[in-house]
Amino acid sequence: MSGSPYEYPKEYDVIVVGGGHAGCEAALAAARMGCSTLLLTTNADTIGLMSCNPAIGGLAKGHLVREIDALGGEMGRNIDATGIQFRQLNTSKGPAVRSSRAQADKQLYRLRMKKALEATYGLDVKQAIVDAVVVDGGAAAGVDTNLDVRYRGKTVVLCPGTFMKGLVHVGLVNYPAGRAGDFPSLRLSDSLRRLGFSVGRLKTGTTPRLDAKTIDFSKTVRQEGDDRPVPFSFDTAAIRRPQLPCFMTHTNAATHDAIRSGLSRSPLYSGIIKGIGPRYCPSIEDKVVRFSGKERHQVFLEPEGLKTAEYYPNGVSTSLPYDIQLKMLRTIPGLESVEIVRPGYAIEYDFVDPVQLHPSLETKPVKNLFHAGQINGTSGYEEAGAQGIVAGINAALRVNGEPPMVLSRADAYIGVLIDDLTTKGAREPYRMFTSRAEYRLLLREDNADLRLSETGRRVGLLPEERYRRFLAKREGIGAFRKRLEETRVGAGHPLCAAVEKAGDSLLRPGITYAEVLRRPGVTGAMLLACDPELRGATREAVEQAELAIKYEGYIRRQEEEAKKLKKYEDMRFPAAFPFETVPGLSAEVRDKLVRVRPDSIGQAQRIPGVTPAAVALLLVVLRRGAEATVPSYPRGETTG
Amino acid sequence: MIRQEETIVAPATPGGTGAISVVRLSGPDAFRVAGDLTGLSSPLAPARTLIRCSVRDASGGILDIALAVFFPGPHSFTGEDVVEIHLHGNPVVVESVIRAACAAGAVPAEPGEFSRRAFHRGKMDLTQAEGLCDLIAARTEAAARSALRQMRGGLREEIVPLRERLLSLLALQEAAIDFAEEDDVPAITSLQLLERVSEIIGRLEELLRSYEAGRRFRDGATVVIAGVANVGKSRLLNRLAGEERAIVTETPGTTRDYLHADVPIGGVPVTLIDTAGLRETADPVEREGVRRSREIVASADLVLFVLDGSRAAEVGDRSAYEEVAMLPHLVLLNKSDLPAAAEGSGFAGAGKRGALRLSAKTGEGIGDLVAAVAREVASAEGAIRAQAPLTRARQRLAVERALSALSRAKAATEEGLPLEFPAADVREAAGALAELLGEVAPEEVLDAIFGAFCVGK
Repeated sequence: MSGSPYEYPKEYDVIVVGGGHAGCEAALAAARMGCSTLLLTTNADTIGLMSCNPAIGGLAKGHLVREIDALGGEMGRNIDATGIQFRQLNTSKGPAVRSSRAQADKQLYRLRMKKALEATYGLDVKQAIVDAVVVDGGAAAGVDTNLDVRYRGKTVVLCPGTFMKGLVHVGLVNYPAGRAGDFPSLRLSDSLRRLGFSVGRLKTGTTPRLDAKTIDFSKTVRQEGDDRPVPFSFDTAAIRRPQLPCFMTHTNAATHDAIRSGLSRSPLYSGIIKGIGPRYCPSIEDKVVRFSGKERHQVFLEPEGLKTAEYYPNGVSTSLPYDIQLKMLRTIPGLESVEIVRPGYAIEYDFVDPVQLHPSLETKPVKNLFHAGQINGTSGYEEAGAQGIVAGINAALRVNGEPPMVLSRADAYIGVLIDDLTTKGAREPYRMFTSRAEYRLLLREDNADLRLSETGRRVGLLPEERYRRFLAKREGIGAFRKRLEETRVGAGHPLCAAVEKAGDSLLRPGITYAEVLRRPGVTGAMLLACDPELRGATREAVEQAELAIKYEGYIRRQEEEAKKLKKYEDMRFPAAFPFETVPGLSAEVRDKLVRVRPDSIGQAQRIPGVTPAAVALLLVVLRRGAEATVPSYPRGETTG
Repeated sequence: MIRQEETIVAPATPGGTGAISVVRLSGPDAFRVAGDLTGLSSPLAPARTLIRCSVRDASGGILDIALAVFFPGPHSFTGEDVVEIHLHGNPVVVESVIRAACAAGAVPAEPGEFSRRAFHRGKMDLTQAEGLCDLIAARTEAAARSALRQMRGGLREEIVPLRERLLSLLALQEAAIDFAEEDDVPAITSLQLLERVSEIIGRLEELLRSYEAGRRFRDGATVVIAGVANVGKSRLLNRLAGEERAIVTETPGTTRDYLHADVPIGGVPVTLIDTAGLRETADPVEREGVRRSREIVASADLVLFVLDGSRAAEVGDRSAYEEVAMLPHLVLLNKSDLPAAAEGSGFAGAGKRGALRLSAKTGEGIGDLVAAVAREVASAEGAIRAQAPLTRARQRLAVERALSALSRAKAATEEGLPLEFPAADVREAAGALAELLGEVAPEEVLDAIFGAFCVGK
């Protein structure tokens, strides 16, 4: 690069690098909060592109989408507008683990997202490849592009996805690309390394895409969406779009033989790929090798959209050579004469150790620089979007001189996600699961708005109208619950007969509706059926009151646990806390603390390998420091 | 206060004159201080090897010819650099060496500070630290053995497998929730869940029962000698204690206050308490003694109810017996050296094994009594349970928390609540057990899932 780049005349408040799922949420959040925002993308045609499977949501991921929506993000509305099959998963497993998933029309999804960006006042979209972050006095001040243009910005949000030194593998063939068909970003990660970031390498992969007219769907099992699609967004009243089916088939012994015949030319097994791939989203060759006893693996054929014949065979992500991909696919029932439109591939890319981030997603080495999405070692659109909205909000808050928004593990899956990343780092691409949330019963899809609307409003992202609707809803829930707690069942009440009919023991007169509802066999619908006066309540009010009453004991216990958590989260280390010199720590624990530099005692407790004894020591030193009236350190300041 | 930046010094062997005394140094400057004292420098001195040296004070005056061992951290008792200096066993020498070490920069250790440092350095977990503490305080050989087992990880060995079983159960539950879409994750049925939960409940209940046995091995048992006045209670105490502890007279009501003796019986440290005779009396002083006796009797682990075997049981005996009938007790017929006049009939406690006939005066039957007491306070089962028992209230509370969570899991499953509720209970139970040892991370649950199943998108 030459010494004097062209300096773009306008200074932005927030520059977002990358137009994927993280970048879109970040740019929209910042701009909607009133910041002049620039989104830079390597290709303006691929904004909001679903690079892997054409679906949003899924277990735990649906929760993330709802939370993004509750804060005022776009993902939920976008999938509601472009979804072609909606399903509720895990409905029998309990209220908190129920999740939404939808197939998207891949092209419509990206076009609508792009339009949302373009329609936002104060948000510029420009096509450019970013080579470096410009840092001035320890703080981000803009970016340099490969065309020698410098954009100045008060804050920078990096969401480069798989583009940093992206390397695509198909068999033994590999080539640099950000995604099959797109330029990579070859210089950005070197710029980060020079700034003191620890850069590592991960791997992910995708399936081949198949031509529908060469698939015999009669040999597969049709899978329909739900009759009454449930929207993701608290904004969407109903989904009226026609629904498409998916189709299920399986691999077999012949498939596995074909795969094994190609292992010698697999970049994964020949050692060419060094990056670590996701355990829970393994390639088909990985599944066949690691679980050789298994006779078959399921494959879902998912449509990529209304106006395309391409199908996404979910379950056969692969980086085997092209000929093996074809051979393997053609052993699968329904795919005997299938044609591949695009081969499956693996991609290696650079990421930055997320323990170098504050829970606000601002980096520790460089002030006013934020990272979101796969750069932090995550996988998945929803995980990316969740980080994007947090980074965008916090960049805007920084510009406005306000303290950052930090969600805790008891507030949201977003809090769990970011705490896991910033505390434990990422050794493999990180995906959300409901089992990662220890306060799972509190973090439900159905109450995402109850949990996060206040926050969304406070930071200035959730529109006034949405917030007012939320307040009304919350009031309705409270009123309905109060009514159930206070209304008593008299003798001869129709509910007595209903309960008796359900085979339950008799009700004693004077019992409240709430007490009746606590019985295992009794539902809110039963109450409504027996008392016409209750029917005025909204569906949400009945649902929320029923959950709160039925599972009161469980919810209360988790709330108590959450309170304990908060106590430790509130014990915060000053920014320059000397973890290096805390006496009495073992070298191993000290190294871990120095690497993560936790923000609070709570976070320190969760660093793997930091013992309760070490935490006790930190508490002592922290208290002693407070007594000694050490000058207070500004939060978010860098130490390096 | 924790002050691990300092180097501590203390005698590691008891005071008094012996063959050798050991002075121990631990901390960042341990090697330097020992170097100042002995002239040995740590890089030259091979680790964990006895080296002959002369110990000198700051002015160069020789204090003793000794042996020193250097233990570089973290491979030492405390995890810090540790030096042990083996001196000739003389308190004056020990004292002078400690003074010299302090002059060289060390500070005297507080009680238990070496162990506390070991705990902080992760050299032992909480149960092991508690075991060490018990070992030092052990009053009998069995108590010491039990403590040593715990210190070497005995309780840990009990808890870790139970926690692993809970985690693998949780992994099954969580897999059925988080990977419901996968065809290769086995669903766990309610029946399987109930079976596994019940098994673990059974084991935890056993552990909880062992708390009683474990507590006795650690804290000891209280055995109270009761009965009306002048049946020979004090003499029995003396006989059992093997020394003259109580004043023994023939006048009823002499023992107005209680007397006690500590005697190990069956490996359990037993506190024997002799009470004032249980009888109604008008004398306010004696009445006070009787009231206190009743309190002591009520809190006993075992009551030895003494009758005078040389006379028939009287109304006083029977009303006194009513006060112990509901407590664990043995009925003793004392004064077997005199002609027998009673069989102890009509006393329920005598029913099972019969009243024990003995003479506190001659010692006849005392061996049988000791054996019977041992059976009661340290049953064979109790001794086995005491292999790695819970010995602390903290441990008992954690086990109780796990138990109540698992009972909820059972109830939730039986009531047909959705899977996530028993899963929350099992998670809480695993967390409670983890609290006994360390922390449970949700990451462990996922590891268990991925280790066992093929999970693919």
